[in-house]
Amino acid sequence: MIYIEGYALITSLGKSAKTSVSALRKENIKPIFMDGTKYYKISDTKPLEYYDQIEQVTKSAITHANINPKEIENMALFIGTSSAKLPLNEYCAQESGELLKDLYMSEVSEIIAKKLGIKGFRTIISTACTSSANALIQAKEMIDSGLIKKALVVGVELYNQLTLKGFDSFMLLTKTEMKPFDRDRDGIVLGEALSAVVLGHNPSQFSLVGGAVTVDTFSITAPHHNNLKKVMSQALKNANIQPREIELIKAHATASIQNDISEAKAINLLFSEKIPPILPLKPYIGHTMGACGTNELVLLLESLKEGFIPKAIHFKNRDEECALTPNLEELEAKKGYYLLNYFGFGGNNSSLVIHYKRV
Amino acid sequence: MYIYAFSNIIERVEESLSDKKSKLTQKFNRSDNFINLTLLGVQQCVQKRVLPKQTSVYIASNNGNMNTTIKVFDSIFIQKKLPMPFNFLNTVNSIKLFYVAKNFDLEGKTLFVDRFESALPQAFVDVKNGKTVLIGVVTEVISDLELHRERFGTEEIIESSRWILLSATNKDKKAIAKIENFSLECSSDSSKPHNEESFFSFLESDELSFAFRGDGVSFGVMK
Repeated sequence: MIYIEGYALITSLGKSAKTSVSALRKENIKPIFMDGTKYYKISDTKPLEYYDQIEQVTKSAITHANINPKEIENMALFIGTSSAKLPLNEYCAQESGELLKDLYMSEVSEIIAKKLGIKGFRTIISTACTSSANALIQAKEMIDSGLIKKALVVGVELYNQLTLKGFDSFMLLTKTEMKPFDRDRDGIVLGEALSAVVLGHNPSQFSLVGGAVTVDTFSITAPHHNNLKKVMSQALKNANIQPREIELIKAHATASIQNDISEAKAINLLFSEKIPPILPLKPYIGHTMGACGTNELVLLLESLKEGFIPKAIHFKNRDEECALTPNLEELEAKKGYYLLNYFGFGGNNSSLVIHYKRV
Repeated sequence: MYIYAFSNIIERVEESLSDKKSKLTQKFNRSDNFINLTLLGVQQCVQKRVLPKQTSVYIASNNGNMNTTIKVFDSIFIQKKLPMPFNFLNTVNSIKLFYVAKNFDLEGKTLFVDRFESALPQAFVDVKNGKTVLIGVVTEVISDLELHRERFGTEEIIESSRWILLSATNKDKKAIAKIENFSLECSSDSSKPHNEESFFSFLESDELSFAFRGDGVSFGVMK
């Protein structure tokens, strides 16, 4: 069994998992305007604090997991990020006009490993919105195989114009708010956030019991519902459970027209017996791209620990094409299995299954 | 773990980047130089084999497609306008995986990672779980060669696309080499020389055995 031994989170809602979830519960959501576009920004941060922020969140997760220096030294490091060092490159582009300073991704894991004293295996995984979800799956599989014993999985996505302008060029950004599965949804609000999760064999309330990664070549920008159904089915199979055992689905729910339809259709197909409550979390912190895998996982874990399941916000009108109404009321946290979906550009789709054992 | 096939495309760039698209059996309208270089390498490795649909694909590249990133930065920071949508899309690392999967009709796991040594252990686990795995290491050159020399501090400018096809068994006795004694060393000393280059040179050579000792990863290869 692979347990989630500790975690930490920094979002626009707060600088810890606890403060983020407290703000989430109060719906204290504060998107701001960056370059004329709505964006969820972490307060008081600068581009040159890139490594400091990663150090802060990883050290918090290690403290939360209460692991000793020898375990830290042997631990493996998995970093999931879509933009990697783009924020640092963009800072140089703006300051000196240098259009490409240095994209060398390994530097991120080298610097963080050195700061933390990690000497084990390290990798950067960069698969757009699924990056850190895939990092969790890969870490779990490597622990299961016996190749490593413990892993620190980090999701990092900090403000960069390339992602913001790129999404704008596809007309995927809303000027209002994210309304996943709503009839009047009109796009995404991006955000920055980072998080870290420690996986290992020390028992805790939460375990990562299954996961799957698949590629969908139907379209480069939009998933097909049959392929989304397939990745969810594989994750459940990997966890050795049936759809009826799922207590809640944390949906990918980007509030873009096509993606929500595909995800809703896939959920309706796979959970035809009974659809569990559906939770979109992006309206609280924005779409945090490659980091949304660990960010949304930690938001859910901390909410469960606080005894509740958040409600969906901004949803007003049911879309008959989606035929899915998200969870509109806060619910009491229940022990059991939770499915988390993450779907990315390039047809990279992932689903995770976690188990929550209520103490 | 068995190596079934490999490719080792190395192009010395002297004046300009080569045309890769014309050499591809399946061409894609919006693919850029990095994607074409990737496809060229994987095409030469796989050749006419039909891969199992659940084949895992790993692309390792620390700098990704620098030329398209420069184009997008130019749009945003110099021209102060939105990038072309498909230029932006090509900077996203999962897009390169999409083209490989589309080219070979794959449905399994596809991951973009930073380097060969980080792909290998993950691939090792997939192979252990019965999967066929393709691993590629792709290095693109900046088309402005002066800028490339300045950024990388090198006179010799080389583009490369190196691939291996791995499988758990050697049922048809067609494997070209066996990987054994795979292990992770507890060291992240980045000053150790990466030797993916020597690994692929070994595969091309007449030598019968090779000891790989990269950044935290070690294994033996027997032909």
